[in-house]
Amino acid sequence: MTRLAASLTALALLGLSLGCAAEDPGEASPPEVTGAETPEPAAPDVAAVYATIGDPGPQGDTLVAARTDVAARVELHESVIDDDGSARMVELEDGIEVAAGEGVTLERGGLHVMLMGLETELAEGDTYELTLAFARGGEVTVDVDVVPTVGGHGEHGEHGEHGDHGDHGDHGEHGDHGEGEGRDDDAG
Amino acid sequence: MGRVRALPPRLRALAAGAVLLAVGALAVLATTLTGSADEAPSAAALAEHPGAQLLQNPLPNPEATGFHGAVLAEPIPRPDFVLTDTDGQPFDFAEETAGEPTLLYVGYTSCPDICPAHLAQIAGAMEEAGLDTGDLRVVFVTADPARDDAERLARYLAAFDEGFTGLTGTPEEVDAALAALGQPAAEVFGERPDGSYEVTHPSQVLAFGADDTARLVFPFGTSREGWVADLPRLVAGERPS
Repeated sequence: MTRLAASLTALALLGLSLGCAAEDPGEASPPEVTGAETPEPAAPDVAAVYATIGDPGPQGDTLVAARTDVAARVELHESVIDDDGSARMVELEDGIEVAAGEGVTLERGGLHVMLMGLETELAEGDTYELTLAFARGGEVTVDVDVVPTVGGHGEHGEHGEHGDHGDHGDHGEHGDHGEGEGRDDDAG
Repeated sequence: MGRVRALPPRLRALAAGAVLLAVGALAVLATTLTGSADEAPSAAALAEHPGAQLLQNPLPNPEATGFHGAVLAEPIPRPDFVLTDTDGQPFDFAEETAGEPTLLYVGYTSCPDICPAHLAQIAGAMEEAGLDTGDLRVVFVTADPARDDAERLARYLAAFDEGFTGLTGTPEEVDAALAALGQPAAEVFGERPDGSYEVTHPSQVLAFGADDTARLVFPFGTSREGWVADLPRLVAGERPS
């Protein structure tokens, strides 16, 4: 029995980590992902992905993992500006909450997918595939556009000088969904 | 401080307490002014430095100040530190940039989000405002000298603007540069099995005017319009009143 329980648990965890929605054999489907982009990386080995994840439906969902052939390692991150003005990044091991009825935006200075160990040079105009795994909705593969490092005028429009700190507050709220308590202490 | 160290521990504590009580402000001022690069500055010295205002993460208030950057209550003097530029030459920041409008930012090249977004915003705004690095120096100091050698730094900054200046050095030299700005040393965190890691760094860009003080700092998230409005005024020598 114990072994069976362990096996079932392992299977369930596997299902969760693969985003297979094993617990929900119904009509669950991944939320719509639009505007996926990576600024052409200035560094040779790391890059960020931004995108808009649409309304996952009334039950909500969680982005639990991402993978791509262009990078050895992919993590879900949030950039945080601490109260003392210092900047740092936090890995979101519990994933990124995709709020019911809302979705979530991955954007500069906030939530993002981080690519590490780039195995393919990404240049402006390129497109590559990124697979996003959701706990409930399963997987979706999207095309990510590589956009100019120094973007156009509208690139940062969402960060008004007033909106900046408010934006980070919003991300904090997303963080709450991710059970990230104590996260702010990570850097010591 | 040397004399205090020579005393037995108990007396030392007493003496240190007495010194702090009697001439605390003077001692702090002396430490700040002499700024030994070999020793980490005391917390008290950092707290007295005008750069400590950055640790309050000052917010912009364009309606009140007319500037989109945050206006500091007390100007931060152009810091005095020496690092190495991407040609491998010593770069004395105070001397090399004296009298020139200068943006100063501390970050690291393995930072995929905030650093490139900030630098892209600066490069894009300068282009839009018709400014080049002859009008406005842009100096990027790495908080991660262990990985950011001259070659990596040069290649990284060239992706934004060939005219940006990149500075690196020994970890001690970088910490001394941060201390000269009134900032605590950078902290490494988030080490991964592959050896990679992240580094904390100030999120703001300091804007020094021709008068060799910074009255403005730009928090992360300053809008493109805000940068485009403020930078030409900085270059023209306007100061927040």
